[in-house]
Amino acid sequence: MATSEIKEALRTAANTVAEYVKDCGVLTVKTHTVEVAAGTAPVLAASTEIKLDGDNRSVVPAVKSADGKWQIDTALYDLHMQNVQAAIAYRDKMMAAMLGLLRGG
Amino acid sequence: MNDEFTAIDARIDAVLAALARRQSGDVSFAAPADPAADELAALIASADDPNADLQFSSDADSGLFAGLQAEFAEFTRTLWRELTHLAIVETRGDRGALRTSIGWTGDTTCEIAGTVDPARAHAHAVAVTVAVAGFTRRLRLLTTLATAAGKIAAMVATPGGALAALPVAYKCTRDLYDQWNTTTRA
Repeated sequence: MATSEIKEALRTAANTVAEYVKDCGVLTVKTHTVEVAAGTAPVLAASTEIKLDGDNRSVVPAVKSADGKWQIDTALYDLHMQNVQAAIAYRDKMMAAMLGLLRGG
Repeated sequence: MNDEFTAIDARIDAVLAALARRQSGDVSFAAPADPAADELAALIASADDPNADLQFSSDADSGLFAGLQAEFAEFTRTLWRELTHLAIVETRGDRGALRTSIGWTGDTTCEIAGTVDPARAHAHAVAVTVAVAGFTRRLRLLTTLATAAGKIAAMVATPGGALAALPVAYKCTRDLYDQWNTTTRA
């Protein structure tokens, strides 16, 4: 019985690795703002999509000043970019570990 | 990846090398005995002989191997469940809160409620980093296990040695990791 459990566990592991590879084509980081008192749904404030081929697309929060120039909300932008950096570092480590797993170390 | 597991990998390699020398009869009396290699040799012998005495099992009715296989299967199930689970980090302040969820592919969603000061935002970023490190650490453990299993499989003579090697590698890695933890954190 235990041997079949191990086979099942390995099958699950292999499926999970395959699922991971399928899902990691695009890395998405989103930052929302929420007005708790108003009880409204979260509003997307910034988002970044990074594709495996290096293409990336970012939407950052900005307002137009009185003289018509765009000004970025730096606090929100910094927080969002921290999340982007953390996500990239995490993805790198996960990919390295996955490759290590596939080649056996 | 140079981390705590690099030391464990090196220790596993040393134990496997000692075992390989023993199997080839190339043993020097001057070399100190390695208890980990002794235990691994006994485990591999048990893997080669399913009717071997069940000295490691906590259940008298099942064998060393059955107990170890069940433990390994449970370990793998738990590990994959944790890995594929969404990590959620929440940091609350007086006037606001931050909530970040991280999927195992790295997809991240952060919600900012109310006003969050830079110190709170920094504390939250640190908490996210710690959660992410936990993810990668668990996967790194699995890599160490897979590597050890590959090497141990070559030492198991029984047909289907690779499957038998997994619980042995699990026990070997777990025990060496525990020893390393005890000695480095003492």
